[in-house]
Amino acid sequence: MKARFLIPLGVFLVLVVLLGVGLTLDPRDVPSVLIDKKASEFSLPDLFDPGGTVDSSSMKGKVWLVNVWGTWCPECWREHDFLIYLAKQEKVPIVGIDWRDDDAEAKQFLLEKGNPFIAVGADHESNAIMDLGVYGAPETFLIDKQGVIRKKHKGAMTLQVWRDEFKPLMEKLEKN
Amino acid sequence: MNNVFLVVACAGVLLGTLYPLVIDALGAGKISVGPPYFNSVFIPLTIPLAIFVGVGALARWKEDSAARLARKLALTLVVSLTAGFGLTLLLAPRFSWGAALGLVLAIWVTLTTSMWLVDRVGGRRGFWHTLMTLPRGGWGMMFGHMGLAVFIVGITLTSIYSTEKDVRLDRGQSYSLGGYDFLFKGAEPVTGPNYQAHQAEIEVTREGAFVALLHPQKRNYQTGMPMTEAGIDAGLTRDLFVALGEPLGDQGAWSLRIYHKPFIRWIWLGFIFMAFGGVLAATDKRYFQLARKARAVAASRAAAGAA
Amino acid sequence: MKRLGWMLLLLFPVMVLARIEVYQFDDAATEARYKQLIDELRCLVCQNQNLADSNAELAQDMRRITYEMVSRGEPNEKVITFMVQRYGEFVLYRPPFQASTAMLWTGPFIILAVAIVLLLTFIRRRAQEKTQSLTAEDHERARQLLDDHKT
Repeated sequence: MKARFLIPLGVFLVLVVLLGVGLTLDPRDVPSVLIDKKASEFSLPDLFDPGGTVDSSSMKGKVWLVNVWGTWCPECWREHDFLIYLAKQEKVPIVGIDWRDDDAEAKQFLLEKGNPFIAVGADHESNAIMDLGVYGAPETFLIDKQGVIRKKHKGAMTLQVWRDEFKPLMEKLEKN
Repeated sequence: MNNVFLVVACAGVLLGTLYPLVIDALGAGKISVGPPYFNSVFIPLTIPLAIFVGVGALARWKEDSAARLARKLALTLVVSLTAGFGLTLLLAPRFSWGAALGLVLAIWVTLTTSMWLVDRVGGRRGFWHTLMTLPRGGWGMMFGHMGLAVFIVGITLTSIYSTEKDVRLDRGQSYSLGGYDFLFKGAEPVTGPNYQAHQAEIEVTREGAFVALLHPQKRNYQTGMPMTEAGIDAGLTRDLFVALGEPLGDQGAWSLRIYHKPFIRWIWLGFIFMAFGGVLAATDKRYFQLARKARAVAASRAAAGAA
Repeated sequence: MKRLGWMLLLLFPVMVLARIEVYQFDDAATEARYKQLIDELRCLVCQNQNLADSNAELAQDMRRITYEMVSRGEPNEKVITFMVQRYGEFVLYRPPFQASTAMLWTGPFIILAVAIVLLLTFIRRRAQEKTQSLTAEDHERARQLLDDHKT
């Protein structure tokens, strides 16, 4: 007789615990499956140089960041000043991928607000960003000397994220 | 047995819904569970459910010997199979095993429920008298079973025989789908209370005879998000649906999506019948009477025992 | 104005219909494969919609890639692998059958088996109880219930 009540109760309690854990998680978050995998090579039209290309292969041997952004993305505006700080003060090489954007507006944006990128590729058809597993903007990737993706951050890059997560890893990778 | 199938189906839905949450909470990754899973659970359960519904209806008449029951079942089965496959082969645009199976099950449920009713008539009373004096629970069962049959027909036919097409049509160009011709007469700008829109006029005909005039719209509300209002011609045996896409070129051509969905209203009808049947059965006076009597007898027994 | 539109597109779940792209297919079979694939792939931006329904830009691009791959003759598995390589299994509405999802796929049938066993046990027990003769009290109860019902 007792078991009849204990079993449903037990199941219920287990469910409560699991769902409680679930409440602390972000349901929209899609964790990257490409961490520690070699990043797909990309070759995108250069935003500033019609006819030229921005190639990921040119960054071999360096530890660098890829930042996916667009002028249509409000969080990208928010992180822009910090990216400039990273580029100018911390001397971090950042390659920008301008996703599904208007080229003229993008160039205007960088002219007015400053350009933290050593190069910007225009991805109008989402080819490069899909290869990186991007599904929103902004997203920032840390890539090591062998071209392997080591870290991904979704949302605006902040001082805290940089200091706690990216910077130590970057320094470690530089030493290798 | 029917309850077993229904409960297991519900458990399947619960499992499919909670599973991604559990996996995520356990840190075992992120998966998605969608229609392909739920279909693969529901359909294999609905088939035996429909079969047992029929068996249950026929087996109620307790005077039958096992042999007579088996004969009734076999006869009904043969008729259902013939009618189901026959209808599919003769009337459907193309043969499909799934459609045939669905029709067989629906006919099976319908026939067995009708035979239940006919059995009740017996020899003493007439058909109408039986209907008039049918207890509410009986009506509930009939509506419930008919609802199940209608529902199965709706789901099967619409899943298998629905057609849709995205087309580019110039002004005056026509497209054929599901036996209907859709003539695109062009799209004009219109203004609504809080939106600007383009409204298209589509003339639908079937073998030359007029069927409907549809006016799908593509609206741009003041907040900037484009919304589509589809042009729908609803019917008992099919729904026709046209949605406006994008203007193509500058000669007045547009991209359009056209749907032909046969028997889709039967899904809702089936639901309504089943729900109505459920309410009827649940409010049958006899259940309350019996419960009250049982309580009264138990109370008098307790009083007698105490005395 | 355009910027506002894009921002809103990101913030709000979008309407039911996907942008209507007119794709040409070589034959009905290819078209059917395309339709099935975009039905079973999940949109990552509008996560409550499949690729067929979603109007998100990323969904448009994923549909385009699906169309290109299918038209090239690539089998469905190739398209699925392509998407899963980049986005993980979250992008599949049909969860793959593997160790972590074994419980999911076999669960309902296990429950069915258990339920049938319970049902049979219950029926057998009831049948045993029925063969026991009624007590005098039960006789009295039965008589009362039947009498009252007759009136």
